[in-house]
Amino acid sequence: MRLKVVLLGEGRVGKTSILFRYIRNEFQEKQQSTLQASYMDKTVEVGGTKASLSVWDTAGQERFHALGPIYYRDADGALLVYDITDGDSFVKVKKWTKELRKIVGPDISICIAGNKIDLERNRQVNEKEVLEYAKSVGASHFYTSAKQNLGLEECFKELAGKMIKRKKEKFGGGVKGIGGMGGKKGKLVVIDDEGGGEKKKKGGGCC
Amino acid sequence: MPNAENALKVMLFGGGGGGEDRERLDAIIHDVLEEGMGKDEREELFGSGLEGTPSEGRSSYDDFLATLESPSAADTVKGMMHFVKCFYEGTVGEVEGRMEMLRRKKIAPWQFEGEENNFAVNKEAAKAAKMLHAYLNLTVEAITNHPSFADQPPEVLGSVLEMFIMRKCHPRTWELSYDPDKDSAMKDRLDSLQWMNFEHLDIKCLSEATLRRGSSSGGGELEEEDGGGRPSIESNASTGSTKSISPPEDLWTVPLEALRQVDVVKSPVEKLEKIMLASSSITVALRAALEPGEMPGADDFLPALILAIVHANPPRFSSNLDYVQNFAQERQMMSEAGYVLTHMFSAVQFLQMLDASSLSISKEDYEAGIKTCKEEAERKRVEALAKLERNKSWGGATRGKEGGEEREVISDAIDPEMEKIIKLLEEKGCVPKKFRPVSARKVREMRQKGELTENLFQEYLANGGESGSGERKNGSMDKIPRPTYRFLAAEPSNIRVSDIPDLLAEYKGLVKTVEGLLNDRRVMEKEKRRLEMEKERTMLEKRREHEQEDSCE
Repeated sequence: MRLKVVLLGEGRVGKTSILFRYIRNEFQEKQQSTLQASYMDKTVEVGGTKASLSVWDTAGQERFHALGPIYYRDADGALLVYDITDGDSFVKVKKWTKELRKIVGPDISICIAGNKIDLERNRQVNEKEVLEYAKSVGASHFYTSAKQNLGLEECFKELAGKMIKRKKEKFGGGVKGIGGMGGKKGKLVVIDDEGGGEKKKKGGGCC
Repeated sequence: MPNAENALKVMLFGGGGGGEDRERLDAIIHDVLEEGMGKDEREELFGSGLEGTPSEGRSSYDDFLATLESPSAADTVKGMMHFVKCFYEGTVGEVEGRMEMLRRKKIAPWQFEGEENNFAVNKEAAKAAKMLHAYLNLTVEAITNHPSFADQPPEVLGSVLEMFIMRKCHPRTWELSYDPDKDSAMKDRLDSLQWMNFEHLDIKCLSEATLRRGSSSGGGELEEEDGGGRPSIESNASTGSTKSISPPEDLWTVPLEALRQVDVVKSPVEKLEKIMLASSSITVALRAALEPGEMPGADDFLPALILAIVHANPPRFSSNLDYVQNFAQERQMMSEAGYVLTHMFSAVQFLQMLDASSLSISKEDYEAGIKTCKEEAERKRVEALAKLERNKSWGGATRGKEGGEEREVISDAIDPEMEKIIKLLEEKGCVPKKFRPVSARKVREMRQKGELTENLFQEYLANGGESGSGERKNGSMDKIPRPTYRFLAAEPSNIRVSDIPDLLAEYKGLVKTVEGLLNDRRVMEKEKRRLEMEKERTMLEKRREHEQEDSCE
């Protein structure tokens, strides 16, 4: 099963750090892309189902905002990152969530990450507000710190679990997505996977 | 892989260079190649045998060609020839029928039923891509089990086979992706943006201004980023000064060259390879400019890519991207290549939508920049036109300004044999459509007037086969279609029996042209000699008259 995850967040909230930290720690031996720190492939296993995650970093600057759909229109999941010490970065997260729901629809799994939790003392974003918001849009929420390597593993695992569950619900047994390039919704093609391992239907660990 | 290291070095630095920067860059290259890069990635950058380091890559493809030449592979070659023929003739049914037959015989597994390339730009391209991919998939399965190809690993075979077939089918597949209007709009846009630099997109690490500011104001910016703004290889790397080097010119030329090369190579796999090279060399340039250990993310990469595209101004870029989108295989688009290609599309879209508000520049400066560049482009266009005018006046030809009228005159007197050849070449996509030769009558008329005809031909070529210069749309020299001589670089081993009609047509066309030119020259020389002799004779006569006069006196 191939799953595409886009990483969205304002510039400087630490998207690239998260990705890079996650690669470094988890993937030291088999890392595919240190040259390009904005893309990675990783195999994860959640609830007995193996999936290959392709994580796409995106440019977060406002001037590139309109290009978003090019990256996320065929994504299975999105990790929205904000900086807990920067209120504006959370406003951007709300904007993206709205867009994702509008353009990709309900099928995309969303995870929100409040990064830089190591700077708790400078917190600007209200915790209660964030958690309520996440719940209202059906997203999970995690606190992370790329610097101290906190919460990253859990965050990606949760997201992977959600995506796997969603795909299984949609397609039943062995599912293979046409990952890669921009297409419209519903471009997934069901093929019996020769590997067989993916046919096991088992509830993924998700909320 | 010392070869790869050297290749990258040569690629990045050429021959010379030295000093501290050089050492630092050497270290980066080493890091990139030896530590930072896994085997897969190295293969992605340098290819896995096929696309590989120049020497390795050639040999893989050559091995393949050599195998095709051997008598034992005759059945495979026959099959390929048949496919390519059907592909050109558009007899899809025949190909599909053949593949259906193979499928029933279970010669190879069939997996492509009903699966269209959803991303292709148009339906026809999607259909062609489906056909090609199905054929490639089938054939690679078949030849993997073929004894003649046993010594080549299947993944290499897949790539060389694709390269081979895609090169053969290139004229047709290109035609399906080529959109001259889109390309010329893109070129106009890029022409008008040549003033753009690193600062307009806030590529801080690559701009000179940051270097100056960084050394004077210390690490002010860095502190903000401490919470994780920038990833570090060593966790304590983000302390210290912001001193960083800007990428040397050489480093920035690699991605530009790679982007331009996309148009030069033929098969989707090779084009993707160039696109990946552009991407990785931009990353190398960014890494050279960043703090040691800092990694460039998409926030740095996308603006740098946009700028690289502006600076490179790659020919027919939109069509090339569409071509790759249409004809690259799904498995190639997975993983990083798909990601990088998406960035390319995204960068192109940004450039198309761009206005002053998208850049860090005032509206006035933006408009002034556009104006200057447009004027520059216009100046070049006028220069090119003036050059043509000059050629015309040398030729002394008097020609009608109406393009249509001119064409009528031309088309009524074309040699039917030539017409046939041109038509054949057009069908095969070897020459652009509407590429009509200059009429024999016109040449004769000009010759009768004693005018030179060479310029007529040159002008006609420069006009892209249209007579009269009034019709030229964009004025840039590189858009001029010229006949492509497909066999210029071909080895005897590359040429198939089905190529013979094309080859013959090309040969005949060339002979005709050469003969025409030689004849022109003969006529000219004869005339010249005649004039000289006449002159001499008059001189002699004059001298004789003088002598007679002298003797009389």
